[in-house]
Amino acid sequence: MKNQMIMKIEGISKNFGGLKALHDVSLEIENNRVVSLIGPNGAGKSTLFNTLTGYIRASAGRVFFKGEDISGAPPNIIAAKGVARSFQITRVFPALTVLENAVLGCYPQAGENPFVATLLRKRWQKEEKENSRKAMANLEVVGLAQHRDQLAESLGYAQRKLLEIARVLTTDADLILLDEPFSGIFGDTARQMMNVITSLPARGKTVCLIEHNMDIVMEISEWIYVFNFGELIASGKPKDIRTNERVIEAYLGKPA
Amino acid sequence: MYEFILHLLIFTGIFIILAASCDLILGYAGMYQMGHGAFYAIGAYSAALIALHWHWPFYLEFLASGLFAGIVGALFAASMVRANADYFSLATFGLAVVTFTVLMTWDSVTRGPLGITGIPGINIFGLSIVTGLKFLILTALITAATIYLLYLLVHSPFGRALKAMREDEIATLASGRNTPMMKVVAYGIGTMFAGFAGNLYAHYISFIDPTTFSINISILVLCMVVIGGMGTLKGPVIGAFLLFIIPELLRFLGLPATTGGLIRQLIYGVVLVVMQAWNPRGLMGIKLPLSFTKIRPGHKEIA
Ligand SMILES: Nc1ncnc2c1ncn2[C@@H]1O[C@H](COP(=O)(O)OP(=O)(O)O)[C@@H](O)[C@H]1O
Ligand SMILES: [Mg+2]
Repeated sequence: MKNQMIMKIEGISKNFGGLKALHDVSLEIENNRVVSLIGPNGAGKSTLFNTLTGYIRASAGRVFFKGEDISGAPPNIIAAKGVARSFQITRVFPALTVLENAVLGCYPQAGENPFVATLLRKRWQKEEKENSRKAMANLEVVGLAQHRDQLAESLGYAQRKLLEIARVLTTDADLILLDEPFSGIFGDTARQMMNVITSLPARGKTVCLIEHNMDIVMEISEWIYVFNFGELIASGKPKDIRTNERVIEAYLGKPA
Repeated sequence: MYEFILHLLIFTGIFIILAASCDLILGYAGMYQMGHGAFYAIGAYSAALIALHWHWPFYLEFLASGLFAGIVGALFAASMVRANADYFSLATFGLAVVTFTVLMTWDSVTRGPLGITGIPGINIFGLSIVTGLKFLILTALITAATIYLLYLLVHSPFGRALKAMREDEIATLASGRNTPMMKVVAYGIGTMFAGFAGNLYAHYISFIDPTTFSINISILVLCMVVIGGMGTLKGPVIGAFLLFIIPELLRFLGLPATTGGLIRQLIYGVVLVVMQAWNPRGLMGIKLPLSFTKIRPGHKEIA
């Protein structure tokens, strides 16, 4: 599948009242890459994620995932097709254990049917073993395995972000959208998160992340898309983006 | 005295079924349920009507009355599930009120305020179960079966997905689950058990009229769950016990019936307020967010 486009976005616009949060955005994401969306706060990056994953309906434009038009589909359908995401404000299930949080990445599960849950326990228990194993493997990857039986609410901020990533990894999705996974994450944890992300293409996954820390973006991205005021203003390899005038302008403001 | 204790225990069983099934909806799926009594009524009236007009074998009639309540519940939930959670809870309250009005006014079927009399006892394969110890045993078996099924449900991936939805609906959607469908299913299952409780009630009391199914019964069941503790099975069982038995014991203080009734209401109210102030988790349960508006997709919430 190398060099194929896993996602194509064609002319997406989104208005919130008079505000043009996204204006005619078109881009393609290549399979098995780590790519980044960057841009100042309010540039529309999260809004783009929300339209791609069905939480927000675009005012115009189309989204194709593996060639299939998914524009306007509800979030759960898009997720089930293989687009997983994290949220800028971390979303874990506080009253569930770390392992339960991660296992919820597995979908579909036979035991979520109430008939199977009560009458065919053997069937789901077998599946559950496999799901737990998979979830544990991903908790291992993010370094939360030893916390498996703790409630998620007992985790600190950084650990919650890692747990959300573990759930996302457990989904089997081919395209992973991470909204600011590094915000508030420093030092070893950031390094660990970078390692996790850069290891994903080898597992057949494509990662698109929104990130503000330029050192991290430049280090882990193979391709970068730059947004400003709802528009895609540049895209390219990290070294080209670094020297792109429009990008510098967007970040530093117009020279007087 | 012996008869009275049997009577109390039979009612305790019925309330345990009501409270535990209400908790599946409230404490596990995280949907406010202020209309559980409506489905108790539907179960009771359908049991009475089937028993009087069609004479089905008990097990069929029992299943039918519960299934009917559950189907009405699922249809109601399906029609309301896309509404804001606050409106949903308001609608469940409305449903309880409307059900009462329908029972009062649909004379040709419910006989209105006169109620339905002469509901026969239960006959299972020639064994006649009308009152007393036999009825208690049947009630205990059905209560135990209900708790067992609910236990299997909440300790399965189904229950885990419900809890996830309760904790964070947006993240649950993001992991592929059809949360509106999950709500419909959870509501349908919970209300089906309320229908079973209604069936037992109709056969036990042999006379039903709308006053039993006023909004008070829904509030009582809600109190049992909230006070006992949402999101556990022990909670509603304990809540049903406390809220049913303690007020009954007040009778022994020799108060006149009307005063007793008022004191009972007062106790529910005071206990509920004290519990909320002292420990919103109830005696054993989890804490629910007070409003579900925050989990609705919309402005800035999906950051
Ligand atoms: N649901 C919404 N309703 C109204 N305005 C919104 C909504 N979501 C985002 N916006 C606005 O759209 C713009 C883009 O926001 P966002 O996509 O969150 O930016 P970014 O993630 O790039 O920082 C901002 O001005 C923001 O205030
Ligand atoms: Mg953002």
